[in-house]
Amino acid sequence: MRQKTGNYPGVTTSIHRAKFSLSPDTYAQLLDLPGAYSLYPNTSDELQLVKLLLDQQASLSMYVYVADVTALDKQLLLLTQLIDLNLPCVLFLTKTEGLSQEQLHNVKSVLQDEFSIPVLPIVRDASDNISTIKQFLSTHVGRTNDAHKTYYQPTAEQHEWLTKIDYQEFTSYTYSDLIAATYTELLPIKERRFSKGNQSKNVKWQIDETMIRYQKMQPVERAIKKILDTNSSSFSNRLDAVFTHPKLGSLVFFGILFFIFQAIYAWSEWPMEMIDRGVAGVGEWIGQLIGPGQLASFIVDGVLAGIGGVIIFIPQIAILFFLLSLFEESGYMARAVYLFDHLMKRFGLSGRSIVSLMSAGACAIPAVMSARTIENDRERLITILVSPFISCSARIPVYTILIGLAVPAVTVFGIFNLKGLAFTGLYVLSALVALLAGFVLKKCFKSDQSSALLIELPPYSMPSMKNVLVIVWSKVRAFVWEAGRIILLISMVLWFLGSYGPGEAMDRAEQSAKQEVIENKLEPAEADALLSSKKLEASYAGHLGKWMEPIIRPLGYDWKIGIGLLASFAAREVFVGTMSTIYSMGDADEVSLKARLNNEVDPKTGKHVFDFATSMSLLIFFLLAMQCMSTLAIVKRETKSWKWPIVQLVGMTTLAYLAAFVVYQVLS
Amino acid sequence: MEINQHYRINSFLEAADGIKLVCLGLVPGKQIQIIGRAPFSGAFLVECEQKRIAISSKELLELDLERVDA
Repeated sequence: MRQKTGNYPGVTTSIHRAKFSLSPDTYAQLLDLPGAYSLYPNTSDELQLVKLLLDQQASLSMYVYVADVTALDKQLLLLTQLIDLNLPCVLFLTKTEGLSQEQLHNVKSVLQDEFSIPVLPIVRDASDNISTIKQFLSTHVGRTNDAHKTYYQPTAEQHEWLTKIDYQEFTSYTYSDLIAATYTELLPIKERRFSKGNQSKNVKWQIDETMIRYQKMQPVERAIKKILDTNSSSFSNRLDAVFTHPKLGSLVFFGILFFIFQAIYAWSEWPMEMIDRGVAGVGEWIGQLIGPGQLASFIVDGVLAGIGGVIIFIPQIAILFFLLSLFEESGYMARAVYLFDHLMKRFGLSGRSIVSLMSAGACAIPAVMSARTIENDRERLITILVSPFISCSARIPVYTILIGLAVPAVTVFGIFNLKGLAFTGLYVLSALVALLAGFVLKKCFKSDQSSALLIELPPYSMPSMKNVLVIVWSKVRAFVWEAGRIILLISMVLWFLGSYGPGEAMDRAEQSAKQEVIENKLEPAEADALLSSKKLEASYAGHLGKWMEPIIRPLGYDWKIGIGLLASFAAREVFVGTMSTIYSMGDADEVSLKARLNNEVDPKTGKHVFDFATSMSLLIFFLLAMQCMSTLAIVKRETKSWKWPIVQLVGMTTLAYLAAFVVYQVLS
Repeated sequence: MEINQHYRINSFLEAADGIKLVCLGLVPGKQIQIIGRAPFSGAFLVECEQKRIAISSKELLELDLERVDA
């Protein structure tokens, strides 16, 4: 199981399932649930947890409660509730680094004595963690709840209320009946009327219950504090003096963003160059091995061009996820939420939207999902709607190629790469557009729901390189596998569409090219290029591109770019693979896509197709357009309606078309 | 609210998100220290028993606080 997990709310926002072997002949299913502080949740991800805990059908063998040993005072509240629900629990303690064996032993004893449940301290990065956990689970699986203590039971007033609800499942009016009655949606419709009418009383009861639990936990809390007796927060506090400072903290935040985007461009330059050369070398080798013909063309121009279009962007995507994971793992993200909550609210967003928007810099899908942690419905919806504006990793391939064409490779102020600055500029622009869109949507959607920030800032910790690398690996693998499959498939389809045409169109194109070669006495290289170009124009792909050319011509695009745009509505990154396939068919000698695009000349006007105006217009189109089917599917799932993905698709694409039109008309 | 000033929580006012405050350890009787404030008159950063909590001004005003000496 390679899921990103964490023992504080907001990291796991949905239920992840995995099968693993406890022993050679025993398999277990693991469900990783969203984190919560209590059974009284505020967000939709926390509600999923409550639903599963109350689901009799789920009948899980064991509940593994994962708690941060440095924050037990807050994290034991939910454990006492699980014990009162009579669930068989075991307790895992994390963040144990820095504690002595004696401290760990004493903490474990205190907790075992108090709760009568098995406790396992987890030492981060220990090589035998997995086997220790498996052995521990094997030993305790199937155990019943041995807790001899109850922390809270329904009061007489609550009994009376449960009686009024008159739900047949409520027989002995236990604590689990009380929790089920609190969530009206868990009850049959008829029984909901009494439950619904009790909301203000419920809140008071919940506070009373929580206070009683805290009071009962105080002796344990004191005992653990005495054992730990650490002052680890002083280091965090010194860092916070800078990172949460109103002015310095904001500067640091923008400095971090700037550093990330510069690093993506600057650090990835040479590995990308190596991959580009490698793919070209393999293509030449295959061409020589098989010899000229349709098979070689299919393998080199159809398959290899598609694969090359995917793997070349691995360095940039790896760098982006590596840096984002470092900041997330260190505990910095919560500081960014604190710093910008108030500002984000002016744009209809929440401080927590910062996490979504930064995640959207990698991919809009986790960004949309992480919006579950936002309590206010309007802020959550706006976050979901504007997150895809943020430039994601799928746009990186397109930006890289187009910036390469439009921006000269020069250094400014002695240290900054101009292409890197342009890259950063696109990210800044996308963030500004997202904020502006949020502001407009805020004016459109009215909400009376309260929206207040209340979060704990975790202490800073050194990121675990193992965790970071696992995240980078899983993201790169997902990009190569999930996006790569689509890109490869589309590349092969495009090769077919570009190599064959309706009726005898291809033969006629060949005859016409041969005649032109003789009339104009062209050199062999020019003759090949002319033949390829004529055949592509006569192909199915050429017909498709020509059909849509009148619509995209005002944006500065020709029919070849049109094919790329059409294909990229499945996923943005498909554009580069498509361009690679189309232009490799038009210019067999040139191996680098950038060089191919740079050399492309409009036969009608004699001008470069990818001039400054067209490249900038395309950049703006890709910056604003909604071109990701997976994101639309996730938005549908998260909003439980097709309305919002359709609004997103139509709204963003219309905006992209208009903005690209203005950019091209002004610059040309 | 003054930065670096210590306060004792006496009670929650009615509109407060009591459950969440309690879950984060901000219970009546505890002392908090205002550590800082986010830019643009944003959220407050408070410390309660060595834990740092970001709390918006609206939510902080829902606490009945009494100024105390450190």
